[in-house]
Amino acid sequence: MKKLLVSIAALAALGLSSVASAEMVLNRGGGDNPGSLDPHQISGTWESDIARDQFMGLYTEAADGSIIPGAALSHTVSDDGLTYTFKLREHNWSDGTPVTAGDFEFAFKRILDPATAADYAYLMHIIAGGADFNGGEGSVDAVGVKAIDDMTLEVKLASPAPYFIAQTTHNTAYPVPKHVVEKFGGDWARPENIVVNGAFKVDDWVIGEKLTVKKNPMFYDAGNVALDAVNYFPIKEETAELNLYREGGLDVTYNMPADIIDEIKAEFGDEVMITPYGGTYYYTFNATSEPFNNVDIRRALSMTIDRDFITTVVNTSGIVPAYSFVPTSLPGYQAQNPSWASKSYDERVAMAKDLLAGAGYGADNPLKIQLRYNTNEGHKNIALAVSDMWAKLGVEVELFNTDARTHYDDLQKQDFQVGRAGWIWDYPDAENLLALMASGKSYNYGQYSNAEFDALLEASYTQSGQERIETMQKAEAIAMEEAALAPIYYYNSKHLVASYVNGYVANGDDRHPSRWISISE
Amino acid sequence: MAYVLRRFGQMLILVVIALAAVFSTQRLAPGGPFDGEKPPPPDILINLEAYYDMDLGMPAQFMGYLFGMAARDVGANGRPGRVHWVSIPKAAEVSITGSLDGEDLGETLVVRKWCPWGEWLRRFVDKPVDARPLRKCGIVRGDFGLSMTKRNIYVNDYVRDGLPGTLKYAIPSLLFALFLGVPMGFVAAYFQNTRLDFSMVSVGMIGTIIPNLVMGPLLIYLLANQLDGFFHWIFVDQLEWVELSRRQRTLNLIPSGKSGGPIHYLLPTLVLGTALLGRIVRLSRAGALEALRSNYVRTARSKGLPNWLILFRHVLKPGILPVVTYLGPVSAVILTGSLVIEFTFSLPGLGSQFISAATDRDYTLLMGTTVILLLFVIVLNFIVDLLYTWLDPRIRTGGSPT
Repeated sequence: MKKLLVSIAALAALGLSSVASAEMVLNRGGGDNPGSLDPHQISGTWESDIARDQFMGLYTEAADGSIIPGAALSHTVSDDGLTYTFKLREHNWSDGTPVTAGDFEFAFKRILDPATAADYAYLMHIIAGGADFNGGEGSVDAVGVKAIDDMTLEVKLASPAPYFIAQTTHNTAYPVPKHVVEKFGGDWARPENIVVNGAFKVDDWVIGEKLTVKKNPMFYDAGNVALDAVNYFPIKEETAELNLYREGGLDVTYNMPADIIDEIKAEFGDEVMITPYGGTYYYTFNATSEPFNNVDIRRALSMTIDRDFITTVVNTSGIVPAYSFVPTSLPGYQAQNPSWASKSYDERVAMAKDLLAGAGYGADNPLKIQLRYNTNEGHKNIALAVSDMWAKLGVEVELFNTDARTHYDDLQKQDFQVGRAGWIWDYPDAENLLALMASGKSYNYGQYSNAEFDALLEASYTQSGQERIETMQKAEAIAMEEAALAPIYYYNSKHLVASYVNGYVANGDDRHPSRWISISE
Repeated sequence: MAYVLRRFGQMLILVVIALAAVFSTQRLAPGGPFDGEKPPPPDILINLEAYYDMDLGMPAQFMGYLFGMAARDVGANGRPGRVHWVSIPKAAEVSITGSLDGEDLGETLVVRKWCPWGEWLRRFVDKPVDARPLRKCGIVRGDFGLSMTKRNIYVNDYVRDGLPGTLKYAIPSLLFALFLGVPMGFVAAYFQNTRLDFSMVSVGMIGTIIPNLVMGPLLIYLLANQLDGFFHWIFVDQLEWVELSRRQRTLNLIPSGKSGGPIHYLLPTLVLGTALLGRIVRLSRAGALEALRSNYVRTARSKGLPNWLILFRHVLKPGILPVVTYLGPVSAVILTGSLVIEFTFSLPGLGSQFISAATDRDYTLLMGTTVILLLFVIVLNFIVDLLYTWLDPRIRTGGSPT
């Protein structure tokens, strides 16, 4: 029997050979299958990685994540902060056609068109008339984007948005080639039709196996692009990805298994890259019904969560305890912790007991709640730890898990008491997170509502600079004090980056355009 | 022939019932393709649902899925409106300017012809900026539609790219089980009721009894963890068949994500193959026993033919007959097994697509993979029927009801 196995394996091993090639090729973990190559039809970070290689927005990212001119050379802003005028760079699509302001106008209107049905179109609602058109009420002509001439683009905003320049680096604001989209319609982004203005262009795509992009010779800065090709391997399973990295099949991973970080560090040392990432893992309280419409109960439960225990014992992947919703890694912003955050854990538990007693819950009348999370080992471990902590207050916690689709469906319908959620910013600005606590917003799962918070956030839209940041900080302080939600930890990004890979620079947005990457032998 | 036609008809009905069942149950399950960590706001959700015709009633959606739709008007608010099943009446034409393939169509409807097979000359409403799927030919014309979570990928593309990945492991597994199981069964039959017989049958049954879900991790533990050094010694040090890459320290038998080197066939093939082994051993043993007891074998023996000749000439064909019958159901076992091994080893293929489609509520992709898996089982059953009549002439002459 054994002999037979060995000979089968031996037969299988025949033909295995390593082909040395002169081309510089990077093998990247892709995270998952991209759903589309159309920058308007994607929503996952693994998809925007590929879109970022293929397209270039008005502004784009340097290797360290900082914002640099892309398809635009410069811009001016009107005094009221509403009108942005971009001067475009002279460059071409991969088929040789010039990229014009008309392509941008077309692209911005296309993503807002209800017929495009783009999930992420709401990011472009900041453009004047955008929200109405996208909602099916306005008209395309009222959308505030206009090509003044081939090289000048004017964008009118609905309200001042100091983060708009940062937003032009996002895939929702990428240009699309008008002439190609008109010719092929919904099929324009298929590998055989697609035309791009970025550093790389898709060459081959076997769904579930590999997506290859090759250097785009028409890219304006092609001379400074070192890599000839990048292979994206869509591997969801982190252990499988680790195995492939170990074998040398990958040069950079998309993620790594959080539960064995210490072993991975021991094995790979400097190749482990763990960086704070713009997002927060949190529990949301359903503020629309008993008992969580009571602010004391929300506060009591939030302060009883021992974040240090979670980040040092439950999940040791280098995550940072969170007391504020806006991550501390956001530059230029002071994250706002609730007043109890500085107290010791024992003091907090005692305080929480008083708060619960004040609300009428105690040993004879225990608070009974249900904690929901989407099925995942990591979420389960945290939920178990948290329910243990809440048990100290005499709270009886029932754990309830469903798959992610059902979970978020229930959250949206306020069919929960306490639910797990997470948010990664779309662009590095506090507003992108704070808007989740504004009244009536659809991502405000618990439907927390505070008039003062709403007023401050509203006011911040017409302000700029430091004044705007202080207003947002005030707003966050209110929401955190009222435990609008319970932040647990700040996300981080985890990659294995082989020592011979250069230009893959740690940054808070976890954006790593392949155009800056090279391989040294 | 009439029998074949009748069976074909029965299967068609079965397929439609199965499709209707999957179609409705998946839509009744909680959650939908557009829920997620960042579900779209209500406005956009309406756009998305219209895009996939989910604003229609379920019977209409099912009809559209089966037979396709000619077009949908551009309704109020720019969203898809009324459905045209067959063709667009003149009155429903919407004035749109556009061009197609360089031809300026002026204010008119755009005509698109696309279907994997079957004639489709309907007119589709198109707008220049329209990203709606224009290909809605229905599965009767070989179009499985557009994936609901992966917005630019047609389910046909998924099948094209996923099926080879599944067959790549399914076929070697089947061959492994056949070429090992049939001889084992014959040996067992020849030495009936001896220790050899007993051990052959039990070895075979072990693989069948242990579920794939357990067998996978078990083999990973045994072969990849415990015997890793042994395989390394053979393939890398002694035979030098496998060259380690720059970061690799040991030979890794676990296939990881991408379809790695040929050595990675070992574990998946073993897991799938052993699941079939037990049945094949027992069936071929039973077939061989019956043949060995038959009169023509006794006659052959009495003529003094050598044992090996008797086995090959007189026992082999009738002996494997039960195994051939089993090949139909085997396809189902292998395909469901593929779900498990693709999951266990993170391999690309139809099985892993099926699983992610189910968890993502990607209705069209789930339907598509289900149809393909169904067709597979059905087609293999047909082939088996044909093989069967060839192997056993009694069936051909005896059993054709009119």
